Amino acid sequence: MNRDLSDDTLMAAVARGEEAAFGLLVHRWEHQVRAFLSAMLGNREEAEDLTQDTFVKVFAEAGRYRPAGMFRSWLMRIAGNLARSRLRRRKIIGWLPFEPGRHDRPAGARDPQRELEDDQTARAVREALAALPERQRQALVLQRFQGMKYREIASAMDTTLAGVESLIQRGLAGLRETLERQGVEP
Amino acid sequence: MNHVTSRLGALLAEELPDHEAAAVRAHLDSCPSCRAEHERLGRTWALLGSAELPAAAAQAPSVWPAVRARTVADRSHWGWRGASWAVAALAGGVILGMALPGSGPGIGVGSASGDLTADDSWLESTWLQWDRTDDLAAGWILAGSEQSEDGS
Repeated sequence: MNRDLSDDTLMAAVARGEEAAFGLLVHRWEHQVRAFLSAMLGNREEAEDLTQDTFVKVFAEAGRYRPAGMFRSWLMRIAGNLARSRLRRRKIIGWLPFEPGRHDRPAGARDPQRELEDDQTARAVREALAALPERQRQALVLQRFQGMKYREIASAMDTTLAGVESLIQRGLAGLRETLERQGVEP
Repeated sequence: MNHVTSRLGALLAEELPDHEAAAVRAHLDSCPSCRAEHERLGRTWALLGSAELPAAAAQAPSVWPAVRARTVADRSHWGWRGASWAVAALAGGVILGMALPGSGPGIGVGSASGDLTADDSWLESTWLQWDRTDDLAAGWILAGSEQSEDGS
């Protein structure tokens, strides 16, 4: 199957039950979904489970997808709903951190002291992010980590452009306050 | 212009229309309070951007085998369902064939396999129509054939 096919074209094929198209979509988007869920949940196993669930849902709902060039928003909406549902279920707002990032990088690639400081800062930022209300966190993660435009975020979160602006503005202010309390100099 | 603190996130995200961004920047030039807030939020914005997601998330094995097992590979249910539809359609076709004038017993499956007379053409169209309407079952059959061809 042509790997350059658009998401909309692939989704039409998925709706017809074409396995190759579905496999292509999963491989194209799984890293972004996993990264988004990791940032939302702060737990690798849960993120992995929900990444699977997201694509199972994509498959089940493929017949309802309306091609409008907004597949990423639709996908992130599914992932976001699953994440918020999971967060509600476990009733934990706090952050369950991943292993520190230094384990994810090649050894010796950077100055150890600088690496440690960066890891501590990154960890503090993630913890501050986790302390935000879910929707503020979701909007910030979609914008800052996924590179989505406000228009896409609005679609993914079922809100307006003004709503996204407000969520990001308040989320950013909340993040700054938390970081200041933690002694991290923004 | 009033203070612009509520627009600073959109400014940092480069989501403001040009004329609004220009107005906000003009205000920042003349308002120390808003300028200080902009600088603080800007540093937070940069920190957030540098807080890399765990590389492990990108290096994790693909979820495709598990997803496939839970979706497209789980064809037993659909295969049974498709077979049920086929049996029902076949039975309906035979009954209809016996009921229609000019058609008699013995047309059945043999006719559907291509050995049709002019009078039997209705039966072929019945088969074709069923085949088109059962998109779901047809899709699974197609998916199965593509899978084997791809070797995936």
